[in-house]
Amino acid sequence: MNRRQFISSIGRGTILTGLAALSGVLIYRKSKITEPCNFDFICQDCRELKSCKQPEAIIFKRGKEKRNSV
Amino acid sequence: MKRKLAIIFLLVIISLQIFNSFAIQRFPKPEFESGHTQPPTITPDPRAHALAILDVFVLVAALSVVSWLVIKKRSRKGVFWMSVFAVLYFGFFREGCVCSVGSLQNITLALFNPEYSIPITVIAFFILPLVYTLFFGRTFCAGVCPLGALQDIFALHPMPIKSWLEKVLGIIPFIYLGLAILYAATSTDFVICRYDPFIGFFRLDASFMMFMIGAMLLLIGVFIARPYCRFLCPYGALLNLVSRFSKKHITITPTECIQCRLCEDSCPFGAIEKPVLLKDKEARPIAVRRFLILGIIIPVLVIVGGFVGSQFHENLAIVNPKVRLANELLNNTNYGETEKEAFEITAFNSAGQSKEELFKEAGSIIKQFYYGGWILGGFIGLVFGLTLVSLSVFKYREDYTPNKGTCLSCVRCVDYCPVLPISNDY
Repeated sequence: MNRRQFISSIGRGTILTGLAALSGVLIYRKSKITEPCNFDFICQDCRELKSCKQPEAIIFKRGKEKRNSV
Repeated sequence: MKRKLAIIFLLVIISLQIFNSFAIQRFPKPEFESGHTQPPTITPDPRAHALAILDVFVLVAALSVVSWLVIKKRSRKGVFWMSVFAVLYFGFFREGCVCSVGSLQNITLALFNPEYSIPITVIAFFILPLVYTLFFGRTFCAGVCPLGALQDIFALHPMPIKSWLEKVLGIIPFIYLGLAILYAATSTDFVICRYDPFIGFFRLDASFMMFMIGAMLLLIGVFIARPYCRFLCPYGALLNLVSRFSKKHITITPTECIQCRLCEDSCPFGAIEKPVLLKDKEARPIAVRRFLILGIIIPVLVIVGGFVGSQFHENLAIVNPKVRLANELLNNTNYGETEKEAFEITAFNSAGQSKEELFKEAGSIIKQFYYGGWILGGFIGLVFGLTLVSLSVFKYREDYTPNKGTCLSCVRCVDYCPVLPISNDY
């Protein structure tokens, strides 16, 4: 490995680490954000319902649980 | 012949897009008693979750295939047909959204605005081409980016341009990159998407001005290959930087260069670097003195650039809709309309926010632009300084080699090389 290749590999490693860190930060932040409701507030048919933390969804899920228990 | 076939094929696909106008909305739009009409949307509808995942898989597959075609197969024909595929799939089918070029704004917005929930697809579209570039050079530009691919198809009679002009114009993408980041970071606008010259072609809804700019770029692109990629693309500026560290990059000759000079003028992008002999190296004291001068000039350029940028912060901030609204209200200019109240002002008056609150908010945004102006100006100063350094550095080269930063890995030069690869068949 000559000097040019050595500098290049250090640069490559740094950029890869930076990209990995950037992706990690963005995915971590995304996991912390409550997703906005994107299905016209129709909880019944919404595929995001299971993980949705919107107040409407929580009320809907509670109601559903009650109905199921009865 | 194949190029003409590809252009005819593209025109047929464009004409098929007319059937989109017969599409029916899934849900009817609400009707307003006030007579308000819904404005047309400027972005395509969000894609279904499964299709968004499919897009990422197609991106990975396309990047892998193009990288293999460039590095292993060294096939210009293969790269060309991948370009056609990119135009059709990432361009017309996906309506060019989300693209890697625009994704850098989403990334910036997500970094500066923690409330913004960025889709994983967008992260993938930003990161994956950079990772592939880090290993194989700008193979994304070669045959995956629909904007580049469209221009590449139209590069019928490319002519070389002066290297000094190439260098000077090559600074523009970095300035554009800085501006795009500033506007995205301040949640002002996605300028790359708004002024994308080719997206209107893919969606068939270009405004007259953008259609003309796009058509002009394609027309210029017939003679000056891929003008948007070389002299405007902000994502290309990032790829340019990353590609310099690429592990494997296309080489003109498969084995040893015989200095036949056949490839010398083969690159339509002026990305082939000629051999530099040791005897051309200047005396050490002169080089040392030049570096000392540059060592002083670069910080000066950064500070002067930052100061100039900060002085323009109000001009830069006026693009922000809130700052503009505050400005219009403060000066009573009503967005230049004389007959009736501007929609923006009507909307503000009915929203219930006080003028004081708006002015306070606008003031805060202007302050962000002040600091952003310093950083943007400093960055532009740094780019100028580093360009000066790159012109001054002596790089010893024995062979004709592609410039890792500016080479778009299109594989055109390979066809000019008479050296055959070493075969294991014998």
